Amino acid sequence: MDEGKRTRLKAAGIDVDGALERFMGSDVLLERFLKKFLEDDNCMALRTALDAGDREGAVTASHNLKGVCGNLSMTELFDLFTRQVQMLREGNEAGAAGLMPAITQSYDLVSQAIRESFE
Amino acid sequence: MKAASRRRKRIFRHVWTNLLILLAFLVIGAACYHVLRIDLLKNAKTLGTSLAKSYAAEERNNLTVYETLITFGTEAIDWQLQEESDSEDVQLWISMYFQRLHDVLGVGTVDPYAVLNGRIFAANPWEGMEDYDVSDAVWYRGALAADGNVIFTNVYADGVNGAPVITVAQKCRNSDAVLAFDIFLEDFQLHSNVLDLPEGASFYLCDTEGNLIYLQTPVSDDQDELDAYVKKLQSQIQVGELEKYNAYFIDLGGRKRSVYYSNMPNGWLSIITVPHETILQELEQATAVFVVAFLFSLLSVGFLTWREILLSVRMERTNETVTVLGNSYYALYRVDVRRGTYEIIKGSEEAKQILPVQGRYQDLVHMAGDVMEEAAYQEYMEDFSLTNVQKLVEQGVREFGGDFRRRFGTEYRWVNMCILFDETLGEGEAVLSFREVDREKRRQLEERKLLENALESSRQSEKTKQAFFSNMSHDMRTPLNAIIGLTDVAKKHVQEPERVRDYLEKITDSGRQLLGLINDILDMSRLEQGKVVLDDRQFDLKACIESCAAPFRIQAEEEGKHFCTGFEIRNTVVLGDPFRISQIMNNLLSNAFKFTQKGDTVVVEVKQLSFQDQVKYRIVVRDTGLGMSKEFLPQIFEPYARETRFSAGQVMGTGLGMPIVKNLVGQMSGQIQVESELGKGTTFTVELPFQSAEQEEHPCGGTMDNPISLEGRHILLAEDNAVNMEIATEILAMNGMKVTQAWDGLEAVEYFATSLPHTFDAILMDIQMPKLDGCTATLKIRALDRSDAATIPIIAVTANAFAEDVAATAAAGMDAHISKPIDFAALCCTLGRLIGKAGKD
Repeated sequence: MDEGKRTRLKAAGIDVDGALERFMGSDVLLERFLKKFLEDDNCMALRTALDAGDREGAVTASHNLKGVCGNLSMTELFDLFTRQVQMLREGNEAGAAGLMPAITQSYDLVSQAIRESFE
Repeated sequence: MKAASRRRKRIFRHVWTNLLILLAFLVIGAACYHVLRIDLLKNAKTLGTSLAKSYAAEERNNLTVYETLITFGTEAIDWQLQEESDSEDVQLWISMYFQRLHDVLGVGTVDPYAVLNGRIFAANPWEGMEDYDVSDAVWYRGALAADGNVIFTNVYADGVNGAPVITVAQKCRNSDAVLAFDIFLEDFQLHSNVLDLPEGASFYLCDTEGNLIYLQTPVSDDQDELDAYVKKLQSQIQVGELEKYNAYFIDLGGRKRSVYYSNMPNGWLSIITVPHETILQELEQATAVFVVAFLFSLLSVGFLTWREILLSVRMERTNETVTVLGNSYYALYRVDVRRGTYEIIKGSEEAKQILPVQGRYQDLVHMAGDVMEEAAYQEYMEDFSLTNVQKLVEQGVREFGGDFRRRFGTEYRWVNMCILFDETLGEGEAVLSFREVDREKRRQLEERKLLENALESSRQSEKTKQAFFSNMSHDMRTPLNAIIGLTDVAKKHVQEPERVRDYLEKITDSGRQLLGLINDILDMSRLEQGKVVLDDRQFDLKACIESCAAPFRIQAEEEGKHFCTGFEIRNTVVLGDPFRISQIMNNLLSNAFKFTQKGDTVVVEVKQLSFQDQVKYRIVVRDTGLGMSKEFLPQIFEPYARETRFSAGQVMGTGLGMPIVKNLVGQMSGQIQVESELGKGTTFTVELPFQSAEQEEHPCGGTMDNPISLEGRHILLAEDNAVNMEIATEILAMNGMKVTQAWDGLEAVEYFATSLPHTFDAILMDIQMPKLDGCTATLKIRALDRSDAATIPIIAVTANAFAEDVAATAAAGMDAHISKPIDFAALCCTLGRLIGKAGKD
C-alpha cells in the first residue's frame, strides 16, 4: 500500500498498522475488507432503529458495527459504538441517539477515505 | 423583516392620510380666503361707490345752489334788459344783487362779476379790470358757447392773486350779458356735511382735468405731491383701469388702495380710496389664525407620526415576543365565562377541524375531553365545567390547571392545560391554554422516581448500617472477650509456661482477628469517602497473583482443599496498583476458602483479553463450596450486608470484603460478576483493564505450550455480518483451516447436527445473531445426542467483553471467549489449545 493511501486512511481514523497486523500484513485483504465495509448496511439499520425507538434493533446494529469496526481497526468508530452499545444496554436511548452526529461524521469520513483510496 | 416593512408601510399610509387631510384643509382655506376676499372687495366697491356717489350728490347740491343763484341773476338781468331799463338801473340792480349774494352766502365765499355790453362789473373791482379782455377768458367763452346754460370752469389760477379758483358762469338768454362767480377753492363749501369715511380712506374731488377741488386724506400734507397723485389717479380712472372690483392703486405710502368714484354731471369726479388693509383687515386676521392653526396641525401630525412610529416599533416588538411565547402553546382560546362561550385564538388540529371559531364553552370542553387519557377525564370534566370555572372567577383565582396525557394521533403525550384570569382581560373573561410538556413531565417523573429510589436506598442503607453495627459489635466483642478471658486465665497459670504460651498464641490470634475487622471497617469507610488513591506503577501481574495465592496454597494443603492457578497471559508486566490487586485477590480467595470445606476445589484463572492498545485481564476465582442463595446474590456487594445463615459461629468477618473488592474494581474501571448456586459453589469474574507495559513476547503467552497444528482443521464459523464473516474466513483460511459458514445460530445448529460426528474441529460462535443467538445455539449443540456434542470446542466471538457477557457464554457451555476486534494470534492460540485438549479427551 502506498504512503498516500496509508496516510489518508490513518487520517480518517483507521489504525492501518493494527489492521494489517490482524490480516497478517496483507494489503490485498485489508483493501478487500475495507471495500466490503462500504457495503455494510448496519449504519442505516441503526439510524432507522433509533428513529423508530426500536431498542433491540439499535443494539443489534450498533453491536454489529462495533464488531466490524473493531476488526477493521477503525479506532474512533469502535470507541463510539462501544459507548453506544453500553448506553443502549443501560437503556440510555437518548444518549445513544446523541452519539449519532459524531458517529455519522466519523463514518462518513472513513467511507470517504476508503472510496478515495480504492475506487 | 416582513413585519418591519409592513409596519413602515402602514405608518407611511397614516402619514399620507393625515397630510392629505391637511392639504385639503389648506385648499379649502385658500378657496375660502379667495371667495371671502372677492366678496369683501366687491362689497367694499359697492359701499365705496355709493359713498362716492353720495359725496358727488352732495357736491352737486352745493353746485345747484350756485347754479340757482346765478340763473336767478341772469334771468333778472335779462328781464331788465328786455324792459329797456337804462344802463344805470341795470348796474344798480347788479350791485344790489351782489350785495344780496354776500348776504346769503357770506362775505368772500364767492366773488361775483358781470359782463355787460363788453364791460365788467365786479362786486370787488380789481386793478386793471378796465383793461381786462373778457373775450379771451375761458369762462366767458364757455358761457357764450353754452348759450344760457350754467358752466363751471376747471380750476385755474386767479388772474389777480394767483389763488386756485373755479368760475361759475351763465350768459343771459336774450342778451350778451354774462354773469360769473369766482369760487376760491379754499372757501369751497363741502365739509359741511361730510359722511364719515372708513379708517384710512381718502376723498378727492377733482375737475375734468384732474385738478383737485377738495380733498380729505391722511395720505400726505404736501399739496404738490397730492396734486400729481390725484392727477394720475384721475387719468387712470378716465381710461377705466380702476373699474374692476379687485383693481387697486398704489398710494404715496406704497400701500394698495381700492378706488371708487362717481362722475358728476359737470364732469367733475368724486373719488374715494380705501386701503386694502381696512377692507381686508378681518380677513387677514382670520387668515393669520388659520395659518397658525394649520402649522399647529402640521406639527401635530409630525409629532403624532413620530409617536406612532415609536409606539408601533414597541408594539411590534411586544407582538413578536407574544407570538414567540404563544408558539409554545399548541392551542389558545378566549373564554367568556359569564356567557359560556369561547373564541379560538389558536386551535389544535382537532379543534380546527371540529369547532367553529366561536361557540359554546361546553363544546370546547367536550372536544378537549375526547382526546384526554381516561384517568384524567372525570376530574377534568368536573374541574373545567362552566360552573366550576365561574366559581374560580368568583374566588379570584388567577391560574388554574394541570397536566394530563393527551392523544396525538395514536400516541399519548403529556400536556399542560391552564386557564388564566387576568385584569387585562375583560371581566369574566379567561384564556385557556394548552401546552405540550411531554419532555419536562417525563423528566420530572424520572427525577421523582430517582429521588424516591435514592430515598429508599438511603433508608435501606441506614437500616443495613444499623444492623451491621449491631452485628459488628457482637463480632468485635467475641475476640475481645476471648482476649480478656484468656488474659485472666493466663494470670492464674503464670507458673505454667506451656499453658501461658498457648493462651498468648490464642490472644494473638484474637487480636489479629480484631485488627482484621477494624482494618476492613476503616478500608470501607475510606473507599466510601473516595479517599483511596490508586498508586499505578509497573508490576508483574502474574507474580503478584502468585504471591497472593502462596499463603492460600499452604492453607489448602492444611485444610485438605484443592487449589490451583492458571495463567493465559502474554503481557505479564502491566501498569497498575499491585497493592490493591493483592487486596482484591486476598478478599476473593479468603472468601472462597471461608465457604469451602475439605475436598472442595478453588481455582484461580487469569486470562489476557486483547483490546486495542489497552489490555484487559480476566481473573476468575471459582470454588465448589457452599454457594449462595439467589436472593442473596444481588446484595453481596452491598456494604454491611451479610447473609445471616453464614454468620453463625463458623464464619467470622465483617461482610465488607466484597464491597471493598467491588469498590476497588470500580475504581480501576473494571467489572466484577458473581455466579453462585447453593451447594454448588461460587464463581467471581473480575475484569480489569491495564495499560500494557511491555512488548508482546509471543502469541500464545506464558504457561501454554505451543499448540498443535491447525493445518487442515475444519471450523464451523457462525457469523451474521458479511464483513466480519469474510475477515474471519479469510484469516482462518490463511492459517490453513477449512471454514464452513453459518449465517445465524439456527444454521450453525443445523450444520452441526447434520454433519457426521467429528466433522468439525471447533465452532466459532458470534453471540449476537438473528434467529438464534450464540448462547442458545451452543446450548442446543451441547444438548445434541452425539459423541462430539459435549466435547467440541466452542469459542464465543463477540464485540462485548463485559463480564456479564463472558459469564453468559461460559454458562451456555462455551469453552472460551474471544472479543472483537479479533486478535487472530490469540484466536489461533486458543483454538490450538482447545482442539488439542478435545483430542486428548
